[in-house]
Amino acid sequence: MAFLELNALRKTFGNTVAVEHFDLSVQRGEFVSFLGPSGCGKTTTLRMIAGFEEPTEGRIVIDGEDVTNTPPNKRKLGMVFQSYALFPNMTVADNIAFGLRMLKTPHDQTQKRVQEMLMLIQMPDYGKRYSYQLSGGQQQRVALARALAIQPRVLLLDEPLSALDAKIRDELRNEIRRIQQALGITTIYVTHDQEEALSLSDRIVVMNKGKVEQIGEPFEIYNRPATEFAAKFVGTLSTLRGTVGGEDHVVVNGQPIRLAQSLHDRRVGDAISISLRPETIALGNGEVGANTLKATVQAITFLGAIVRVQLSANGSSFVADSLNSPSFAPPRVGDEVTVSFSPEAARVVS
Amino acid sequence: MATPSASSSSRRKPSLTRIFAWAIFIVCAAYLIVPLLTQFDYSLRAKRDQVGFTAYTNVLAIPDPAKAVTVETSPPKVALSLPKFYSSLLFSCLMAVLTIVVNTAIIVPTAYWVQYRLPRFKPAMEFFTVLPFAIPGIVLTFGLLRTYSGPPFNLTNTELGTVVMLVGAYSILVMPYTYRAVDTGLRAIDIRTLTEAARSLGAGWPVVILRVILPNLRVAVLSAALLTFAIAIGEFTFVNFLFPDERAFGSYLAAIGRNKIFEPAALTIISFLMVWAAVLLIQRLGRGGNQTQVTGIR
Repeated sequence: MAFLELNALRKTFGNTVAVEHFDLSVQRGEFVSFLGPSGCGKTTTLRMIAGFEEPTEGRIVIDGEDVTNTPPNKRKLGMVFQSYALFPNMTVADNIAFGLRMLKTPHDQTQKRVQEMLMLIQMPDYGKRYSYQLSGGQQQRVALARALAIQPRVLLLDEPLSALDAKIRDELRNEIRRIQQALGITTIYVTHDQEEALSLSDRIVVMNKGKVEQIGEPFEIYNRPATEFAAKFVGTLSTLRGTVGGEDHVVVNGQPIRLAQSLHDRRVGDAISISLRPETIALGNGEVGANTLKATVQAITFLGAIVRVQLSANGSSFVADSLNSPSFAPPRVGDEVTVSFSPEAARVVS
Repeated sequence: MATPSASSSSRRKPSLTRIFAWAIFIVCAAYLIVPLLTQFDYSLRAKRDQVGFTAYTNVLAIPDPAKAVTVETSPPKVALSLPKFYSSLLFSCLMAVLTIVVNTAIIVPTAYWVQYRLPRFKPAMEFFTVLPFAIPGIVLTFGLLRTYSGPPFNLTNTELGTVVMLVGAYSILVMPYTYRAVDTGLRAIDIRTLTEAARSLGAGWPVVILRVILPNLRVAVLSAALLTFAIAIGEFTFVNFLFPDERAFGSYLAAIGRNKIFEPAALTIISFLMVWAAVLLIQRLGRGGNQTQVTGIR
């Protein structure tokens, strides 16, 4: 049996359905991310697990115990908030000790645990400071230590890195994963940042409009998206419009494009859309057997390690990413170029 | 390039503004300070052709410690016998402290709950809390007296009941100030996230209020306490009806004003000094310890 079970969860606010038919089983020690745009219901689901929102329907089971109607202070879960939520009237050590004191842990054990947590977050000398004396990243580390100090059954993180700048975000992201793996704690992580979800998670739940679009491992979500929304939301995806040319190819801009997928259920001449990831498209003719397509350069964006080329063919815009190198000579806007991609890279969208 | 005249005129402009600002400041300060100075001067002339503190010593007559406290053994009893100034001040201070405790215990959880769980009731709360401003004091007094001094409450039949009624009346009187101070304090902290953080760590509601919310409202609660103290110390209408024996400081002040000449001026200065001391104390307490700060981002 799974460690955390969400069965047919539903939440409505008045006439608005925030979460609908949410089913999920999380194994002990697993790191699962809820990924989706704002308003998709991911935070509401997390808050239902934490006990801050009461499900309209459905059940929440943790370690075999039905906690659906258990108040949040009795669930023994740790939560980290986007806004840190450190108690401003307490020192770092008192913040970390707060949950232990609620559990009536003996004083000497509390002190020992606080020191362990400070070591874990690599801030051993910060115990006597107040939250206003810490940077955003340090505050979030303390918030993490505070949530972990009580050895929660499940760690819940609600967009914990959103308020931090990019460099600190990267550092703390690695820190969260390191700590989670070291402690083997079951973790639910809410984010709208696909990069965070892909890099941190064992599994990702892609959500949209209160519903689960897809549940899978990061590699699966990225490479084999189950729905158009999942494909478009996770990573960059370009769509090319054309017509069915046969069982194994489509025609785009008068040029045949071979697919790995069979089109036996489509009629020749039917309109069709195919999707491509930017990193699967190469400038030039490519390898033998690759599809080639003539397109016009619309814009070029330099992203450091990557050069992103915006192209158009037959009224469809698409993007090709090339790795930057000193020998790389990017095309110019208005140039007509040939791009190539493998039949496996192109997936039928509709 | 600026010509010399232009540059000198640009230099003159701010100085004129500064002079105007200083003039306004001096006029306002004089409006407040001159009456106090004249009162002070008047209070020093209790003896003909002499300047001295006679009025003050009359008011503040230091009690003889041996006579002030009487201890009886059977039945065990400690009785205080102080000059009227001290006994009335002590009584009003006690009423003020009780009002502060009662008011804080009612208003802080109420304002917190309205902000946290029932924000749609905020307009109603705003309306109710300004009612003591809108209703004249004498109407409020008679209303409360008629309601609570008769059956079934009969509060004025006993000493304790009368104290309960006075503290209740003061609590209503100071509610607008307390609610506003606490509400402003609550707006400055992210109570929702702090509450949820505390709850997720195992805290029950009393712990959330007493150990998380209240300490972060220290300055707001102290401000409300100061206002409560100032109002309760000088309040006259209620105490005059409930304790007509000049037991409270307000009725003592009124009696002195009726019967003495120089002592009321001395009492005015003493009252001001007490309020200023209270303000300084509040500021000191508000500054002490750690700073209160909104946690993280909002």
